[in-house]
Amino acid sequence: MLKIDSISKSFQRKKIIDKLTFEVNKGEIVGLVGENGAGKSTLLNILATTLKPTAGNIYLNEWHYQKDKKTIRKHIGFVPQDIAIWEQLTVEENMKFFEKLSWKKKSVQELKQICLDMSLDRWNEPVKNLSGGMKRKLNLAISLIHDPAVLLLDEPTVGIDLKSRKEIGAYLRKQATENNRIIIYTSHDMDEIKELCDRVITIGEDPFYKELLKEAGKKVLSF
Amino acid sequence: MRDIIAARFLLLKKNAVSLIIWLLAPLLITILFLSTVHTVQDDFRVPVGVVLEEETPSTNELYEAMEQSSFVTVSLLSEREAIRQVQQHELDSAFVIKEGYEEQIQEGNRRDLLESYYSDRSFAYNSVKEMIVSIIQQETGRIKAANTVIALERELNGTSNWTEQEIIAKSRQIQAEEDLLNNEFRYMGEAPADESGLIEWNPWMIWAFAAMLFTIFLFDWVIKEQNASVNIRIPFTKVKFSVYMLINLAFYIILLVLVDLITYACFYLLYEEEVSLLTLLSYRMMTCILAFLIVTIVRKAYLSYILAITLTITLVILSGALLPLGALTINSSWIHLINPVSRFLSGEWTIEWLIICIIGMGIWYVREERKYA
Repeated sequence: MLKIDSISKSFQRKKIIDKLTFEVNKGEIVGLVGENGAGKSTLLNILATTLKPTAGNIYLNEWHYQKDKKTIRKHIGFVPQDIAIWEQLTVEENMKFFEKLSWKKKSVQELKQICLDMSLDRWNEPVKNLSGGMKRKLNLAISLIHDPAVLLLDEPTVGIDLKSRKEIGAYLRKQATENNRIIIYTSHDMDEIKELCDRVITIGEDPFYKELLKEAGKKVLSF
Repeated sequence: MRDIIAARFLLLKKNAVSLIIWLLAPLLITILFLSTVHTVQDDFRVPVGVVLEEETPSTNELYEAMEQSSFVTVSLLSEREAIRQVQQHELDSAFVIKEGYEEQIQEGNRRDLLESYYSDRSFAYNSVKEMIVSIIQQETGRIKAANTVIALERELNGTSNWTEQEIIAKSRQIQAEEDLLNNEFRYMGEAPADESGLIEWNPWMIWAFAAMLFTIFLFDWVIKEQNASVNIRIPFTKVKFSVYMLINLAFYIILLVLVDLITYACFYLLYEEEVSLLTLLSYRMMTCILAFLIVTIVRKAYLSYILAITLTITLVILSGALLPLGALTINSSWIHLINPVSRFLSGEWTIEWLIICIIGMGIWYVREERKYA
């Protein structure tokens, strides 16, 4: 279980996140929504351990985020908003490259299977020749090499076609239910959020997202 | 460590050709530069033909003395061929060393020793003729002096019994050792300075400049990887960014040292020039760490290229290779101290530079650790 206990984050004197508390259970998909600059990416970076909260505590199972940072990082898969892959390498070489640096050893067959599970079948194709959707899939596949318990995704489907979006969504649902992963992700696509997330956290003062989600019958937690 | 190297190979595989070119560039440029210099020097020499009608020690000495001159290219030919080449302006002029040369020289006779051929386009004929005459005069002067010494010995009933050849050899030795025209004054124990005041085109010097330049060019991988979008993934891998970079730096140092050993073998075979392997290793380590620090500081590829060119030009000037700085470069110990190429060429470890670079690496490491903590 991921437990966020009254965390706050300020940049200089501006408070971005104020006493945020919530819990996410295994197998649950939680969406983060809010207007631009509300603090979604900041929260995601705090949960990814790349930013420190100004106050509050976070726990993953029995591990404390600050005290057990190294252990925590072994269990986090982070999918950045910008595509973080080597453009000059093929899909196979990208998977192999990050497997070499990964906590977990995986065979080539296992790596290939991760890609095939999300319909990324152009194994020997240089990344520069892939479509935006394929690149997004590879961006996600790399983050799953070390079988993370928590998957944090920063707008993973931005700028891609509907078919790829649906495929990624279905894959994430499968990851949550079959592998008991905690999935937290940000998106501006409300249809996607409504369809995929078990719960939604709205960040920021604008009531627009909260009302929209309540209309759709979603369980909403606002900050 | 093995995994990081394996990951590096995946990246290098895509740039194998350009990597090999950058690695071999200092060696290739040195060979190309020196062969160009030699070709240009040969082109500027005056082509002269020599015909030997007799082969005696004196005629051979004259021929060798002409050959050693840096202003002429001497070809040994038959008289017919020499005339033909002069007529076709392939040779500036031709000189026939006539039969009886040895005998006439022994007798101190300097008339009708040579015959010469030249054309209306023989612009260097007079200069070459004067050069040959001066060599003959020097030779006849020596023989005359030897004969005078032998005559005096006989007259004074001396007991040394020196032969003419021994006296000539001794006179040559004295000339070399006590050359009053080129006397140099220095403090006791001080190393003799370069007589010409110019540094010669040593292949290792050219290589040292090129190695500095191309090592910084080669290290643009650091900039690319520092700024790469994939960096965001590093905190979630088993390696720290600083360790990843350090292992890659060590990998590149080993790669470059291997190429340096090939360079060492090539220079030995081509130019018979050697340097101490330890000096070479210390210079290579210094250039690699310096290149790494430069690119981590500037963080932009084009700035690193500008800096590399500026640094190399500065070293070329400080070494007196481009401009003859004479006394400034040779006698200033502080220039020698700050110039790693000068230290390398004099066979010294570039230890101060290496220490500065290692301190720089320590600062970089601490900063990276803080950044990714």
